[in-house]
Amino acid sequence: MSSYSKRHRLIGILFAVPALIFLLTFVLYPVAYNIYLSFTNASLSARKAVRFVGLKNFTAMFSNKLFKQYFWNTCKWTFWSVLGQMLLGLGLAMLISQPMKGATAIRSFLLIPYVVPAVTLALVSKWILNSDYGIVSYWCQQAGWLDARQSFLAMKGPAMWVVVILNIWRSYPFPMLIYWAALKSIDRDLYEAATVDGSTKWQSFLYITLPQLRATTAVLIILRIVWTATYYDLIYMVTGGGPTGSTTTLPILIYQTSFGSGQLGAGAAISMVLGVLMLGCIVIYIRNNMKEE
Amino acid sequence: MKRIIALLLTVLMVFGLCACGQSAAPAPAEAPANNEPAPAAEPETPAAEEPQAYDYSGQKLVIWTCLTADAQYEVLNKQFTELGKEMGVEVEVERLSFNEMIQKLATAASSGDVPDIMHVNFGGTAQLYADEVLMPVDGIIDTIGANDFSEAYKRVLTGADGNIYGIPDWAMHTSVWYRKDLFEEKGLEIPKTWSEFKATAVALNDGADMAGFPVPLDGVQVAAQTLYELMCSKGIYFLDPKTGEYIFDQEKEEAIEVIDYLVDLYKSASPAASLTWSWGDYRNALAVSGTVAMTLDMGAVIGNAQGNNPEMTTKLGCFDFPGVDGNKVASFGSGYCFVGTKQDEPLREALITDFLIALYTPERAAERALSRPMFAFPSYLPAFEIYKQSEKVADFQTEIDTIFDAFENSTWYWYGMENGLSPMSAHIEATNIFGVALQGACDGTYTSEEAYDLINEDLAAFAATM
Amino acid sequence: MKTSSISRQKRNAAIVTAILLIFALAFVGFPLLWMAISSFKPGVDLFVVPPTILPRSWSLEWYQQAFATDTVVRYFLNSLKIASVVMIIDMLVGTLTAYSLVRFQYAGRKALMMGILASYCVPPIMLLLPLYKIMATMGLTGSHVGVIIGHLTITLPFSVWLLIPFFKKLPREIDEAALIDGASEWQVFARVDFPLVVSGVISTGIMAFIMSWNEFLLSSVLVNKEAMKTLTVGISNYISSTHIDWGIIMALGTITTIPVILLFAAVQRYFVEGMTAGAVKG
Repeated sequence: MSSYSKRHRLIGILFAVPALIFLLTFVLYPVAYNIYLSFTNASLSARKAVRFVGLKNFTAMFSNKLFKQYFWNTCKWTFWSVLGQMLLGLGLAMLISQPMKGATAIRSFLLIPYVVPAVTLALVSKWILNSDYGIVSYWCQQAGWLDARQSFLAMKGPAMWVVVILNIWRSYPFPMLIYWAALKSIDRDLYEAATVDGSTKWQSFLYITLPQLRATTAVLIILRIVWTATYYDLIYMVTGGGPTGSTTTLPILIYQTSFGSGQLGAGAAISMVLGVLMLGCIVIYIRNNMKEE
Repeated sequence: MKRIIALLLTVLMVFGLCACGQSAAPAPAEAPANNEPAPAAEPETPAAEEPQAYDYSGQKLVIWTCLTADAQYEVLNKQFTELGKEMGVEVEVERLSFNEMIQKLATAASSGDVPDIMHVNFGGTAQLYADEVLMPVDGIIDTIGANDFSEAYKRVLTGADGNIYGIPDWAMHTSVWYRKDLFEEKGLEIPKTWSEFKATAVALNDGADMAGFPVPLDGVQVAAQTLYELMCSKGIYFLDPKTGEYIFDQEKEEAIEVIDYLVDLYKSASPAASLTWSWGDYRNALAVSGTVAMTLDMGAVIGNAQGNNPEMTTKLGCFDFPGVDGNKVASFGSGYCFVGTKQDEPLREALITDFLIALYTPERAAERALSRPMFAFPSYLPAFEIYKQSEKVADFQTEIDTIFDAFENSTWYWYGMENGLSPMSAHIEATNIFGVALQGACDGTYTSEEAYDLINEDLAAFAATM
Repeated sequence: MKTSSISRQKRNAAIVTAILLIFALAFVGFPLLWMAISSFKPGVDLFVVPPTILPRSWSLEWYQQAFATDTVVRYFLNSLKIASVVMIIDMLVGTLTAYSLVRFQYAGRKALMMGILASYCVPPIMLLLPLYKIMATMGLTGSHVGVIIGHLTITLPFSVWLLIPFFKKLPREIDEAALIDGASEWQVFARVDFPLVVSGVISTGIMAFIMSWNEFLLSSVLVNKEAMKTLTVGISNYISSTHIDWGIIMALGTITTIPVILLFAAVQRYFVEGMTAGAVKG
């Protein structure tokens, strides 16, 4: 049992020290600092002295007419994005887990959106949805789904759907990969037994596949909610939160408040609200993962 | 093991690319450097005549510009480098992109990382002034020649303490740019009132291919600029031009009429997607793709046409946006100026002073204005004749006269600076409330009154902290 | 009879699968392909209505224009520098940490594990303001230090998490044998265990490289100067500036995306292995 000596343990800790220091300094401390900022009038401008303002940032936020709308935008954006990417991810995982030629190549291709920079996706989508020379706009205008010289990005209802679809495009590969691994691990015998019993494919899916994927799905949903609700880049670059604030989610609002209007304190307060909402998800996720330890 | 080797090769490739990139980098970087000696050989050397009480050798100047067009940056950079050589100082030029300038300036001011000199628009000047980092330039303007700049321009750059904080460089003015050929084809006259203007826009509007007049309302600055030109023509402002107090809250009825008119124009003659149009979109539409017949602009459409669709250049003309009933009260003017930052040492202050003065020869001022893809003209009057005779603007003498007249002989304002430098201007540049409210008024989310209320609440809250 | 109906069923299923896959591949491929095609279209073809699928002539003018000044090259080098530094630090620190978590037992190990998981869940938008304020106070917004730190807050927890399964696979007995033979812990790590996971470490590093290369939010706020911008931030400015050159934008989008796709293709099997081993990551 010499390997569990005190010295051995100490060396183990030493291996982790760099990461520990980094996380304390640049994750834990900033999070604490953010809490502090949310109770101050901190601004971008150095001229104004920072002082405590109590709950003023929070009361101002909740009394802002537009906040409620932006909050619901966030819910809508998160719900549909997560639902869409889970369904698409599951569907594609089932397709690629069937035995066929070139399965690996197809899987590799379908994983590409995972690494495509959001900026690329944003630029292309603005180009194909341009009201006057975008190819998708042109097709939709020809089909009569869109008025002449109009773009879905300039319409307050459809704009949200566009960013949701774009977000599904870039985020389905992750659930797909996880589902693909989970499907592989389901015991083949279960299906064979079911086939012998005369159950259809659909029944097998309903009574074997889905229950086996339940745990995976729960964890995936939690994680994707956190990432989606707090995701900023895509909306900012595609619509900037418009038109008429219809795609403004809380992350966009945090940015606008902090760096547009320069009110860092108020921005920190919004990010606190978002953080508290996400905390529940994070705790569930961690507990779930630690169970396997 | 093979996999590992493959991976290592990949990593090596990345670094290889890195190395190639680095060796490739200096090539384009050297190109402008090699070009520099030629223009440096220009005959005039104004700085040499200045009596210099200080020895500037070994000093370094950090200069920022907030331009995105390469042509403008190159001319500025050339002039700065040239002057740096003459004065024996090292010059470091940085550029900030326009759309994030306000934020970057605030950051710079709070971390103490401000430049010595900056070539900046009015909003940026207001931001730096609010951060109390600028030095007054009254003395510099007097040395260059106080009468060589227009009073209106100096007023915009005057602080609450009565000092001037920026040296006017080039001036821009919002006009309606239009297709002369289409006006002729349809037998249209230059509109003189708001209702005539709308009728003209509708007459030019032929369904899908040609829109009469776009109402661009992108949330970043553009919506505010579109609204402000209409407000000015009716004599409505954010701050009182006489006292500098917030007065937009007292002009509710008139402001709602302006918003009504804006919505009316949008609905009757603007492409539907213009709710999210920014500068690039409407300029392209008028000057490149030819899909709108008129647009408000500060003249950059000409540069766009010259660059991308030269045939269009001769078809474009401009007129002043009309007043409600023909009497236009004021217009929306703009410009860029030079500012210097406060220094601790007299030597540094003298260096900045001398450097700024040396930038104001008629040739240099004209060259700078001409580097802008049209129509900025030098606000330094002695440069104006050189500017007018330049080949680049030769075909546009009428347009230049129209703009010059509007700028020098009529009233113009820059939003939030109706009574001189004010942080309100920087706030208007940075807030997105104009986009939300006006897009909402056009797409039916808000009534004009609700849109007004949204804007007013946002600005009033800011005014209370000023 | 029965076998033929089964085989027909199988064939029908295969056809349905093929059709669905073609749709999926088109959905994924179309935007990227359209971007690449647009980047080779000369100006006249770019704005024709109706848009043509293939250009009438292929042109490199947008690439030439994009690289006419050294601006884009500088963005490229900035991104390369930042992502490389992030990759190296992640590989070093991440490996040590993952090793410590898998191979050692000590008080607080579990807390550290939770800390890393929690950090992994803390999104950039939460860290944005405090990191910005800290970096601005320290005067680091004029350098790349702030962005590198920002990217590490995202990639380091991810790297540790991705590396853990690679170490878990290693049999413990080798370590213990080596320790009994008198090797130090460091020697066991460096000579025995590390060589066995090196492919996992490199692929993790490359994933960190890709994440850093793609990052936008922190890069846009934590760098103050035009000359120091990363490629993603630099390109995004092309679209919001006062004129829009769609051709250049498409060319820049293409050259930003190609390196990450190639890198990803190179490490994908290790990435898939690391991601799908045990717990769900992200």
